[in-house]
Amino acid sequence: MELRVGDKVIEVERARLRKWFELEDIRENLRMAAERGDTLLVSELVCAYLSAASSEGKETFEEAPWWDSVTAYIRLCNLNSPRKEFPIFSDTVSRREEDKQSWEYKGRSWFMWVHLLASSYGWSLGEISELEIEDGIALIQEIMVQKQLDKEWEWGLTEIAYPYDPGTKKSAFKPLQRPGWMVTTKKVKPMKMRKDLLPMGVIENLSGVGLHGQLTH
Amino acid sequence: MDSLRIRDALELHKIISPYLPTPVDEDVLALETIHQIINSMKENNQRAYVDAVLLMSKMSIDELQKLESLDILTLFIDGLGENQIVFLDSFCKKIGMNYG
Repeated sequence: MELRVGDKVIEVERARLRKWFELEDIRENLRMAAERGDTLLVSELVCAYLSAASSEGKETFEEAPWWDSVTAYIRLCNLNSPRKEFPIFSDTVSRREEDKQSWEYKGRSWFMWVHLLASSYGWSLGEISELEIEDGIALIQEIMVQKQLDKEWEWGLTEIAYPYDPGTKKSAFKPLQRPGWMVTTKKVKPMKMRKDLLPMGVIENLSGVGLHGQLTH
Repeated sequence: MDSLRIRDALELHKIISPYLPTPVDEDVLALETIHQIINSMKENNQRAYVDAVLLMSKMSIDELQKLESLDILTLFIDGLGENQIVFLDSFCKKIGMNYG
């Protein structure tokens, strides 16, 4: 892909897995800086993202007209975004500082992924770094699914999967909890109500949405 | 007037954003948007108006004080147009810019 920034035309290629991690880290820092309204840090991070994605110096983007830098940023974000929707990203909740483990550190996620992929497939750090973004994410998801299913199998073979209920005086199977992204969401069936239970009289619609989905105010 | 670099553009947005109409309608002529901004600034914070002109024109306060008010207004209008304030606002909203 070609980017026009100031007087320069820069050729960029789509990032591989290692680079993608680095770019996502910058985007996350940019999101947090934007939430705080830190304009100086946001501008630095936009230029850092562009520099990391294109291997061009930061000064090129710092000195260019702002709309060239911003347009390049938007285009590169689109280029380096995963092209599929992976369920593993659907239920992400930021952990609070107090819940983080003592072995956590900034940048740990990359090494966790490398560890999982290397353990499963015997690949080197170099090979893993050069994976396509979608390949890396898909394989990580498969590894996490397999680990969860293995845990559920082992869980089912233990006594603690069948807790005793004093109320019923029986043991019942209690399945192992799954992470949010592995939980199948069931469609809610529309509930039929008896006519005599429906509200009567003049009904004022305060929701702002009409019968046919149009906005009423 | 030279176009701003990204650092100055974001600083400009920080100054101007409290006075931007909500929502900023990209279909409306940019000149109408600029008039709304000027009127809002006159009513609420004239200092922001001066800061914005200084940032966009890269002049010193002494140089600015020598100009007629109409010339300063022209610098302001030209600056907002040159620096595509509507696109800038759209980008800042997209990244979740929040000045508290």
